[in-house]
Amino acid sequence: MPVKKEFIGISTPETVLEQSGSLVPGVSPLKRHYNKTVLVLIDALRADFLFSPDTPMSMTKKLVSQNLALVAKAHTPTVTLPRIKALMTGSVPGFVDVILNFGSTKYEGDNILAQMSRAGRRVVFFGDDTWIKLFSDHFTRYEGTTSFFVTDYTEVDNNVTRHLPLELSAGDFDLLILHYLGLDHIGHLAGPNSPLVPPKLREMDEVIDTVYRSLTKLQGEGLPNLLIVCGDHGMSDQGSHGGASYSETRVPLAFLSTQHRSSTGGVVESEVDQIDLVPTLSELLGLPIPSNNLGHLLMDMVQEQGAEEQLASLLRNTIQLLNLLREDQPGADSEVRGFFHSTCELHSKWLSLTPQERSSAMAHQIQIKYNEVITMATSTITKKLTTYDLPALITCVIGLWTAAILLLLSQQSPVRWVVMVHVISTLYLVGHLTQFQSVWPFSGSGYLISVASLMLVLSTIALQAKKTMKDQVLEWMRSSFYGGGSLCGGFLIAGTLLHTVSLLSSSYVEEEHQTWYFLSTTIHILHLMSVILTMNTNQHPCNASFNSSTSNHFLRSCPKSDVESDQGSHSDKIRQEVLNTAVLLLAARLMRSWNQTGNKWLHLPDIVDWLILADNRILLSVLVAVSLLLILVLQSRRLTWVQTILSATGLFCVFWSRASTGALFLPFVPQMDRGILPARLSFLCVFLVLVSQFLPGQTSRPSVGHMDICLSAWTVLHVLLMRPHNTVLVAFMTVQQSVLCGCKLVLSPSAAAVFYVWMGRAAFFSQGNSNSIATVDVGAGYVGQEDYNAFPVAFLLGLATYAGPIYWFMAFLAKLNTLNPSHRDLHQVYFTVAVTCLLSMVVYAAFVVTERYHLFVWTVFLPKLLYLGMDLVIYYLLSVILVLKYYLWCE
Amino acid sequence: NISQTFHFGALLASTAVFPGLCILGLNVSNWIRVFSQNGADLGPESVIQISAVSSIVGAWVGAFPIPLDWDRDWQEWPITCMVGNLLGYMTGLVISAIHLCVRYNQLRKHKVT
Repeated sequence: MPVKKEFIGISTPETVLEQSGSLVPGVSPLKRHYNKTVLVLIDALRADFLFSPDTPMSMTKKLVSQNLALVAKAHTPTVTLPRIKALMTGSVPGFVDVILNFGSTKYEGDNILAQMSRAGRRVVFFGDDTWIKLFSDHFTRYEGTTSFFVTDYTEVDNNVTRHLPLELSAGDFDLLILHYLGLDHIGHLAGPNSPLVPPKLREMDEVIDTVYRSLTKLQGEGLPNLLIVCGDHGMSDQGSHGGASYSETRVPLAFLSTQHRSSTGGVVESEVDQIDLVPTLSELLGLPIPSNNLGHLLMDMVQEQGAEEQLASLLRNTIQLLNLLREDQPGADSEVRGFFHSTCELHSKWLSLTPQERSSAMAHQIQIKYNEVITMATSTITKKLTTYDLPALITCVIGLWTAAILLLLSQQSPVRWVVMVHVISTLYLVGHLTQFQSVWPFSGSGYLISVASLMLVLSTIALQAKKTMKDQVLEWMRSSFYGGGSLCGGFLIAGTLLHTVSLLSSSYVEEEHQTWYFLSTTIHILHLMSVILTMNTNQHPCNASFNSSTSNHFLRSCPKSDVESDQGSHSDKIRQEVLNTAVLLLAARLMRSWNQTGNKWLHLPDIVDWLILADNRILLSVLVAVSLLLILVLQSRRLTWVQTILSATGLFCVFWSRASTGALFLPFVPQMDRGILPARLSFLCVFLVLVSQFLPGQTSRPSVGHMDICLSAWTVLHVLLMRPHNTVLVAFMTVQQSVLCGCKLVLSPSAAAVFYVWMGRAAFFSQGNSNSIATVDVGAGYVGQEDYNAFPVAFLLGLATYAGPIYWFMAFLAKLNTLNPSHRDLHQVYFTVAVTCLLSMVVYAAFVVTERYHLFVWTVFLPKLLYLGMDLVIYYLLSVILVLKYYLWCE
Repeated sequence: NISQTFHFGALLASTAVFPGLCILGLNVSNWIRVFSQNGADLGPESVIQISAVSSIVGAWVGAFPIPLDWDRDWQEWPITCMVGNLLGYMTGLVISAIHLCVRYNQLRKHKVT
């Protein structure tokens, strides 16, 4: 991840005066224009929530028409922590902050609040406790509310509003910051078109109106007061945010002053950057502009003050930006400075004229020139704003590749000491990366050590490996390529390679769900063809075309009985297989239209859009109830009585918990609370089912293994973590899984592993996930939780997002039981799963490093990298289960 | 969307299934013999086997350009698949023609000697 260069220490009024005075003597100093300022920051306030013609925020709209408002564009990532930093410092935080959003530390750099506290002014804050973690030193009074508990949207705002009467009557502040989280929570829960949004907007409207009236009352003889209304980011049509779409990045920025403007007010047409608030607010409050600011002064806001003041403010903004440019790229500012100095001379000349001689045309001319300098400086800075730590990146990629190659070799000879060296060097690299403040120079000692150890590993591999690797790969391919399964085996390999190659294109990464739907449908059809092929080959026992020396548990043994009596059952079997495949394909087709995901076709209507309409609640409840019953019936074939009852209770509790939150309809259950109690009961049922298989008294059916019970337990958990409309998907998956369970797969275990992995990936996307951070369903982490605790929430969130792949991997383990694999087969399976996951990761990581200056690197490629990393972790944990199962329980 | 899928299905049926119906008739064992047991006689049967498989493969490959973000008119469903289908069918005919030539030559050589 790139590392930024930042100023340390804050700028002082004295230095500002000195610098501006030296360039343009006699320039007017910093001047405070507003007495009290209130900043109302409404989280997830999209621009059209305020500016659309039929907005519920009518009073604010009236105020806006008499004052100034703009549409501001927020930078990515459109998540709260980076946006707060941007609003206070004017800098453009990077992608790493998305991960750090979960734990914020004190911000040491220059920012508006530091300037305020340095000037001895009183800053009061009520709202999201992220501010407190970042800026608590600068607040005179504060109270925070936690922002991660997304199911509550009334208490969070009431906790802020209840302070207002006291604060506004006393007026004992210079800057009052109010951060309202309710709208953001509503967005995550229900989306921007839900009926919960207008009342919330009206609530916000009333708050704004109250504040404005109080500010008018508080205004005495002196300076006017200012009310700023803005949003930190918008929200997408699904209600989440994090990406770079239009609705996620456009927020309103309204400056409502108690002193009415002489010029016409209203909404300005052109778009500005969100960070432009920083220099504007600094200048209006008479403070030095924070040193890391990249915003432009908003001319519309300083228009009232007269040409002299305007030019002085512009001068200070330009000086600050040029200083930042010099700090960032020492040589690059020389060209801009020449132009700047000529503009300063013009400015001095203008100032030296008497007020009568000063022409407004010349002032306008100087203004334009300053703006040009500003634009040149900011574009030069942003072009190279983030410096990539290239040595570390390359070392990481080499490390990844080495790990992958070591894995490939691990089949034959365990090169233990080489692995140790590799592990140690990786740990060292990780140690360096966790303090990512400093950029490693190419000749630094750390880099050399790390590269040397990697080279050692690689050379050992190269010496040993040439012949053995070829043999291994050939043997592996041969093992997945025999009998009727050669068609499928070949396609599985080809499909994996195709998918890996497709990751190199940004459109295919965005629409990855299409790749997986395509590949999984094709493999179903090919499997059907293979099955028919095998059955027909079986009809001619003289065709000894396949070796029975390799394990052929999977092929039906040649019927010894009469050929004629087989004809009837033969066509029956074919019909059965065709029916199975038809059911699989039908379920897949329905799952595909369930949720639209990706980017290009996201706006098209899908089944879920229709199901979650308020009118269809009863229909949804009936549908969910039917799916839960179906799941129970399909699973009870494999469970004992006790386990069936436990599962039934668990599923019922899930329904009950969703009915408590109002998403479903259950008679006799009032819509009261968050459904925590039934959710916890459900957890208990899951745990009991899981544990019950170990109790000695249980006599489960002979063909049922441990994994089947685990799968049933997981299904209940899966249903619990899904949104109500997605539980029908779980029913579809159960149907598919029971069909696959029943039919014989003409695939080797490792090919079957890949087959199930593909099903898992298709399920991942049909749930509504995509390769963008905005589709992560944050509400799923809070099921059954009273409060925010980092670890359980993160754990449940991971389980909920990757629920599809986990389900199918467990289904694979259950199926593996029936295939009676040998020791070597298990090695192959583990190896295949690892290669499948690693291949895409390794190729993609190398690709992203080479394409780090691509246009779409922030919006498309980096989120996918994060998802791949998480994917790797999940599959690693699942493989651990695989290894444990077979080495502990079976031996 | 339904009418487009229907038209695509009609085209695919006419290139992959219809010639087979003409040559092999409705006899299921014939179909099984030609397509899943690789027992096509040289002549019309081999032609339809190769051309049917190629047209289906062509239609499959034709789906690749659809998710790309070039924003062209022809990236709508099912235009590229139909084009792929027809191209596959043509390539299949060409390949089967070459296959026929090669095999006939081989047969003739064997007859002579």
